[in-house]
Amino acid sequence: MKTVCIENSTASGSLAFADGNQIIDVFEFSRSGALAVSLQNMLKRQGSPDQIVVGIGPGSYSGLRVAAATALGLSAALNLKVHGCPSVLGYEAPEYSVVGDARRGTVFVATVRNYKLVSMPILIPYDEFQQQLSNFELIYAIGTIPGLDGFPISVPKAQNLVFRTESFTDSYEPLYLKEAHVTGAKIP
Amino acid sequence: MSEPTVLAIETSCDETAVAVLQGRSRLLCSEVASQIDVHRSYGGVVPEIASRNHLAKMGPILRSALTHIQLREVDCVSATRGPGLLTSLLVGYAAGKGLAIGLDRPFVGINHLEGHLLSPFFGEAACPVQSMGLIVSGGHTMLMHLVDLGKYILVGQTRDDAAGEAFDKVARLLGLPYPGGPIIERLAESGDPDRYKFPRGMLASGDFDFSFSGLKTAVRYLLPSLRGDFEADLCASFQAAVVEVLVRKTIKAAKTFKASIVTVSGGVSCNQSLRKNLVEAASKAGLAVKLADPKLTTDNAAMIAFAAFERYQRGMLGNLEDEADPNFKIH
Repeated sequence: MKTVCIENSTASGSLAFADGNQIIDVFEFSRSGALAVSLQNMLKRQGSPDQIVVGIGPGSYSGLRVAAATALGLSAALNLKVHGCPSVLGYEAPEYSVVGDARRGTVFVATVRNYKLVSMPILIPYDEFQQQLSNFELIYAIGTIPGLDGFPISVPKAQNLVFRTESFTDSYEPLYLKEAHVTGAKIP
Repeated sequence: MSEPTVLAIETSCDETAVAVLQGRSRLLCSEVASQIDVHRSYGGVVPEIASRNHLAKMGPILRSALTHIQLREVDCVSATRGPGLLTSLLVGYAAGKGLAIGLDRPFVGINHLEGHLLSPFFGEAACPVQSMGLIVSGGHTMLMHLVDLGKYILVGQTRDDAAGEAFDKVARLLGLPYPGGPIIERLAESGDPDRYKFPRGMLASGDFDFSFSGLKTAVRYLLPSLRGDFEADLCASFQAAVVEVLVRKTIKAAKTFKASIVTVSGGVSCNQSLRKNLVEAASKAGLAVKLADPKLTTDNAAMIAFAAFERYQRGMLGNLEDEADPNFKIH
């Protein structure tokens, strides 16, 4: 089974092409505009995949949408299935926690055991997370988070995500964690 | 040998649309998934909600469109690059790129305004020719001199509200639901356009720019003094003020730039009063008129496919590295 995986939940995106349990191609990029060209080049090198996996976050809404929409277009062209996989599973270690800035005074936190999510990522206020720090062991921070220093900054990678097959879902919809932000009042 | 086939995606605002066009006229499919009911309760388009819906609808609408054709028949994939809401644009633009990569076909990013500008020529045997185009919608009001494909001169544009935006704002003042433009037009049908004397913004400005915010303000100041059955007359008077400015400036621009054809496109070009008055004025001025087919006036992918076809024919292809651009310039 050949799999192409797109992970674009952070400012540092990545692509991986796996054949069975072997990674045979990896590419990293730093802006969304490079995703399509990188993907095109990878498929020219490796040929068509049998399935597509896309990281569904949590993370940058724009990055996640670009990845999911690109995967959708590719899947329609090649008549392939798209699997979603939580991006926070894209680390090499089997057990860890991940924290990322979710804006407006909140962070998202996810805990992984044996390469699987203990529960779906949750949103908590900055100060509440600081109070709960002792509950977590290895913590990766996805980018800098205001007021939270000292964690190794590390982003998820496609070459790890592609092997988290037990967590693949049929939904490519990003893990938004929040309702859509609406500035105007809803008309009754 | 059949003419080239273009698949196009449009997601610049709140409509998720896919179309497949063969040649200049054979529209194999044109599907539009509207979100208008979702946004109506907010009184306008909420960008974040629009983007979420685009992504949710993209898979089904794309697969539905592809049932109308054999994939190998697609020669070119295109998508709207801008202008529009960035969070909406990037969904369709990325899906188009993914499709182009999978099919190993060229990709063309299209300017949404170019789609509107060329839409009055949709279905014609020859490529679009020199003309003066009025693009009038909820987001844009502009006069564009079409010199050649890709050579467009901005002649004038609104300095504040777009004409369609003015319709929607006046509708809101009247307590009418979103989108208000079509309701105002319907009410205006039975009204007296001369009952209220509304200002004709920038009619004597000497340039080709527009302004509609003063007109909207005039309606707001007049409203508290009105009693009884005034809605139809007010709508008719307001619409007449908008239409007169649009028509007179379009005709004047065509004469000034020596264009023998005037075109009108965009959502407000569906307005029957505008169409009728423009045809009459152009006829008096000895100008030909091309009106966009009403099906092509609101946001749709068929007009994007048409513009992409013209560009594909001339080898004006895009680049996978280009990104969606909410301020993408046409001129």
